[in-house]
Amino acid sequence: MGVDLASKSYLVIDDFADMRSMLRSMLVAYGVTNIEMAGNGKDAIKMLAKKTYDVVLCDYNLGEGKDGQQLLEEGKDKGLIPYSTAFLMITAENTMEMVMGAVEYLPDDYLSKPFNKDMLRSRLEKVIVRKDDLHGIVKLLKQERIEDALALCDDKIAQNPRNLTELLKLKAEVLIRSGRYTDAGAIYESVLAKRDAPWAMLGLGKVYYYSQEYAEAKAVFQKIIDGNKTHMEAYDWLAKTAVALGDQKQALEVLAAATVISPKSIVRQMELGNLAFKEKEFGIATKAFKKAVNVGCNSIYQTPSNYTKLAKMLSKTSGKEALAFLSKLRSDYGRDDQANLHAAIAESMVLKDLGRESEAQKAFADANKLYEKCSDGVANDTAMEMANACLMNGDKDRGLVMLQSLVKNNHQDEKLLARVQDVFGSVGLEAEGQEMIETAIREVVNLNNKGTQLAKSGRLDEAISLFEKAVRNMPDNSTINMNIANVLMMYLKANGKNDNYLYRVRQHLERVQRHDPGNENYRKLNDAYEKLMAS
Amino acid sequence: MQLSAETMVCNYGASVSMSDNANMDFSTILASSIHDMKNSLGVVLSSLDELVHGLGDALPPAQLAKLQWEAKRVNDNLVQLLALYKMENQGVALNVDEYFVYDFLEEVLVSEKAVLKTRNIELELQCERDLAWYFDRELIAGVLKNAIGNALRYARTKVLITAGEEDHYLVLSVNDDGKGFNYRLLADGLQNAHGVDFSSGNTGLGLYFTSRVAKLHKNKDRRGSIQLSNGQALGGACFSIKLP
Repeated sequence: MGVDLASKSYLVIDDFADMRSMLRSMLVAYGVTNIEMAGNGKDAIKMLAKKTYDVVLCDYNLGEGKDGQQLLEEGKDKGLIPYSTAFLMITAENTMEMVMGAVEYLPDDYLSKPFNKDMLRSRLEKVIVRKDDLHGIVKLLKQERIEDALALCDDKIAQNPRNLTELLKLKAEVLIRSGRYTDAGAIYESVLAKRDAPWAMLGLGKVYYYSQEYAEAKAVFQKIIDGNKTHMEAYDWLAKTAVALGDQKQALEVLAAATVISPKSIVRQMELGNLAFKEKEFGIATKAFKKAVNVGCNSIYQTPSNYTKLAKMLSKTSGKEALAFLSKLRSDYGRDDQANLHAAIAESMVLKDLGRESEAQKAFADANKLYEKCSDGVANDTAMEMANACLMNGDKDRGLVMLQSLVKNNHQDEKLLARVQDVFGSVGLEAEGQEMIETAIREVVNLNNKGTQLAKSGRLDEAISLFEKAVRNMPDNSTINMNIANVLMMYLKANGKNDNYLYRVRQHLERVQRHDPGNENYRKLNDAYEKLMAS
Repeated sequence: MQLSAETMVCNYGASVSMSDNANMDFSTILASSIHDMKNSLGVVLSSLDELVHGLGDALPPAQLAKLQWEAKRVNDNLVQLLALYKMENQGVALNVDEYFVYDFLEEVLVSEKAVLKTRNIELELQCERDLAWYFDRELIAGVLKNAIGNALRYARTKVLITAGEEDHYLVLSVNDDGKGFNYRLLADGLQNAHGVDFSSGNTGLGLYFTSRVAKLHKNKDRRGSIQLSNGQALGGACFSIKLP
């Protein structure tokens, strides 16, 4: 096939020494000399951080610690496994039950045991050829050059190549990513006219979902599951769709069924836990978060709030168990300030629930100290927890200030606003909370209108300085960040490009993307920014 | 430890829990024991592979060939049993995607290579390189291994595998130049696919598994099927599976 396997560099990851040496001897038989080996996930991550390998052969089962999927997720997440690295997952069973990561975290192929050196070779060659062919498109996508990527897709598709399906798949995904649902839908429909291809059904379902045609989406996802009970992605989408349709009960059932089939996915357990909590199904929620805490201790998806949510639920029934999970949080995360902050906040609340007043006060004091220490990079969830703890432990003023700032930074985030209202409710301050939220929102909206007016009447300088002042007050507010980016670009168009302003546009857009991924207007503004850069 | 390059990578001591449930029923116990047996067999097979490979070009002694052949047969049977268990107990889990048929067949044959060497039978593959089709890779591999195993058992000198598109179906055929299927099997084999015939050693598992897998494959309103016949390409038996 013309693939030069011999000159490539390899990383072999397996917890069994015999397996490692077998794999090595297979590679040596192809003339490979550049082989390194790791016996566990932790070592593998260290090696991947030092060097980019052409090929990674990784066993799914790595004994204690991370499994192969968790390793892949972490490696991809930290940018240690670029597209150019071919990642083959070796599995013990000929089932795909372990397929559960998000699409961007899938290995390039699976190889099920038993296999011999010829089979490994044939798989390696195919994966490498396949990836090489798509590399150009992937590179453009990395640079956010969507139009160029689509054009390159079309060029290749026009030649009716061997891997036509793969190109169509990729093109449709790019179209969805850039919000062109009708075009993506047309590709899926054309494939589905001839064949009930699961990938095209899934794509069509997503198109329906994003176009808010939820009933159609639901039917498609259900059909996929009827054909393949282990299609885990379809379960996740079906649950999402059920939530969109307001059928939380069905969403719960779907996720519960999915976690039975694939219990090791921490993300799904978290989804289930959060949904069950909202629906006041505390039994299901507790079980899901316990699973999340236990299966996910080596996963990048693990978060301290899984432990604290669990602890707070348990505090009503078993204070001892609640506190035990909080100690587990501390020991799993070691000297991580954020994690200790979470633990301290939750401890202060659990201990308060248990009536252990002085210990609660001590934990609250610890939380305060840690909060000051990491006040720069605190997530919304953490801030809300801290505010809650303040209100519970008699520091009302501080709690109010924190909640106000949360509202200002997220004045259009209905979910967050509802949760802030819940926090007020839980300490008996419904009315006061309602008023505070309304005032804060009004303030942001007024500011926004004023800035927009200024910009419309051509007073760009004034609009910029108004928005800049506002954004200092609410640095994560997507509307303000987008408005300021927009006004900056208007200024650049009127007065010619300058690097300082371009840089600031980029910064504000990045904040939106980080804080509010999936914001519809972001894509439009980003396109405008790209055009401006290219002009 | 010196390992030969022909080594099969198998499943070392990985224990797989079939269920979280403490009240296991009998079929679950059966399935998890099958799993365990399969693991042991994997070790046996890879050791036999090493032995055969160690002989270089020399033909292995008859006992070794027999050992390898029978061990592989047991292994393939266990794989089928496990797949059937899953279909019965966990619902349909057909993992359909598009594959290049030639590449797929090549991989299936590669895993049969060690056995071919000991049988001294010529194996030919006829398939267009760019033909792509949708199917469950693992299950269809199981079907073909079963069919090829049978063909090798009865072939005198040659086995021919063909693949091609006919009338919007993918047709995969395994032909041999043996004496052909017996008439009873041809007459009612497919209807009584799980009828047991201990005298011939045919438990019907292979056919049962195969027809289940074929029927599971659907596209629009068409389903897969299998066909047994005699006197085709090589004059002997011909097994075909049609996938929509």
